[in-house]
Amino acid sequence: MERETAAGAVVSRVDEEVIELPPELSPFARAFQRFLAHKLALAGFIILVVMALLAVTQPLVAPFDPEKPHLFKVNRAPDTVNWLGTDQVGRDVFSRILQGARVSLSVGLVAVSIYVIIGFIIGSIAGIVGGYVDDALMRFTDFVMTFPTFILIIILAGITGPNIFNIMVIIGIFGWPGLARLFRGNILVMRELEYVTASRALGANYWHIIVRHILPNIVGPVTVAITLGVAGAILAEAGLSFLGFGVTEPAASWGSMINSARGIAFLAGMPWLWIAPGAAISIAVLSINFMGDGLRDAFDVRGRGE
Amino acid sequence: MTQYIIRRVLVSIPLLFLLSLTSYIVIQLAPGDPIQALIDPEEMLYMGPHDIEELKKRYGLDKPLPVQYFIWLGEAVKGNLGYSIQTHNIPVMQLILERLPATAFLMVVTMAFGVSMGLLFGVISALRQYSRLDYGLTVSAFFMLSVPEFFWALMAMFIFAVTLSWFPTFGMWTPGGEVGINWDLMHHLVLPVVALSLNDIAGMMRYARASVLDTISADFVRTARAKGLSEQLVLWKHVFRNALIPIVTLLGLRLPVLFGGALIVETIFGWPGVGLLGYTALLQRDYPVIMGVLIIASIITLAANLLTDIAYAWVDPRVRHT
Repeated sequence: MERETAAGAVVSRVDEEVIELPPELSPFARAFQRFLAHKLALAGFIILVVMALLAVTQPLVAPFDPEKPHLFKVNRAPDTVNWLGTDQVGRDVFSRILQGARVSLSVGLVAVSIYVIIGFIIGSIAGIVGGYVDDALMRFTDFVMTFPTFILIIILAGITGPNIFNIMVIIGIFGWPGLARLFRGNILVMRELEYVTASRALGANYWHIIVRHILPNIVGPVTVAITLGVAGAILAEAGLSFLGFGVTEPAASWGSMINSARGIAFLAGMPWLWIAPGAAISIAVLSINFMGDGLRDAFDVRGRGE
Repeated sequence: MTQYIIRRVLVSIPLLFLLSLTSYIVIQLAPGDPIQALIDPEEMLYMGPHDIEELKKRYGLDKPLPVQYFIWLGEAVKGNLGYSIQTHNIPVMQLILERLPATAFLMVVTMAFGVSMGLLFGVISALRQYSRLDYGLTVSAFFMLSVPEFFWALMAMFIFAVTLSWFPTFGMWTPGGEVGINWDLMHHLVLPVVALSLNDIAGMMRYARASVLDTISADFVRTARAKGLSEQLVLWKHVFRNALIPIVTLLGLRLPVLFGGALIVETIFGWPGVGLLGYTALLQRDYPVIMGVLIIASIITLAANLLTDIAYAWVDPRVRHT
């Protein structure tokens, strides 16, 4: 009763009526289709890829050295040579924006990697061992969540010195509670599933269970958490640099570029100095957020009736 | 109910202890000796090691660190948070108390504004799901979350204060004008509150929208409608009551983030609050003040969380028995 048409669709004949069924797809392919349908997410993804490429190739692509002052070209408005103008010591703003992309993206990725690893370790131990250890770890997690972390970050950054590696570590140290809870929650659920019990009955140790059974199932929420985490880390780095505690001169960071433009004279008279980096931060974070939202919708198993 | 309150308060006390310990350890990481900060550098040249030992003993800095911590704790509980280094020995507690009302005022107004606008837009968004209004509001929420606070603040300053001159650019009152709760204060309040509350509005909007959408499709709402209740009654008595009350807990979680945002906004708008105090102290390496601000912020955050938990338990009886 079923045969394949030229289009690869499976066609079934019921009482001489032809009903076309959609081609069968794997769960990942379906998720991908949903993602593609989410146009904003797609736009975000493309913008992000472009930004990443620019950041990685910055030494080759940037028209000028972002750190080299040209004292005869101070405070120029955007023109054909300096596409976004020059700053107070004659550095090309466009090249600085590209270097800032490098800084922000690398801080985002490294900081998030740090706290995903920490969150994974803590969440897994809490979920698997359970009992008092679980209780204690969760109390600790709650404590870190309720701490005024931004103030602590600023203070730590102020004390340990403005340095890109310090920033990565500091942001990383405070981001893990959310992920720890995510991992722990999923492990608690998965622990009771029958195929996990079967696995253990066959002699699998905890490590095997985590890697083969649990991890593949939480790829979805973790990916979303990572994506949104990178957005948050970029904002945190920008905020820290803006206050003067992040990446400092002569290296370019979007936050510190805005900081240099803070006086009323710069604000009103030379808008290209602060609008460009601000727009850069906003576009980057916005793209990541759109993409994360798309990912979340795509991985959502409870979907809207596909 | 009282049992729940007692339990929560008891849990908070070791938390407070842990907070103070963490803060103390963080400050100890700071480079530099407090002695070096206190003494006139020129005098230091004439001092021998014996004099410096003497000074250390006087300030209790030769004792082992844990002892120093407990001494500090004892003093802090009495309200003595030390003396500011940069402003020539004004007690830290006094500095903080002077500035606290300004920050508290800013944060309260921001929260009120942010939460009410966020809820309003979120509910409208949910009730008109998938309409163009819903789509527009959701995208704006994204924008509000993605653009950094200091950029919003600078843009607001640029457009409304510098270009249009509708609002002032700094401070709480016009210099030379009358101080107090008056229209001048409100005038100065607008830009900082708008800049600070955008994050809250966006967060509340998304939460309210999701929550109302979830509740509207619940069975008990169907029952209410089937009973013949007017749509208005269904919405207000059943949907909103169940969907929006949990917002209370969300407020508690926003508070630490709000402190950070307040710091930035206060710095940009020159709002004389605790955030600005902490920032200038950090730049000047005024450690007693930094420590004091950290402790006070932590205590307020902890207290706010406690209150929201209790309020939530009061409103939603199911929570009392966890």
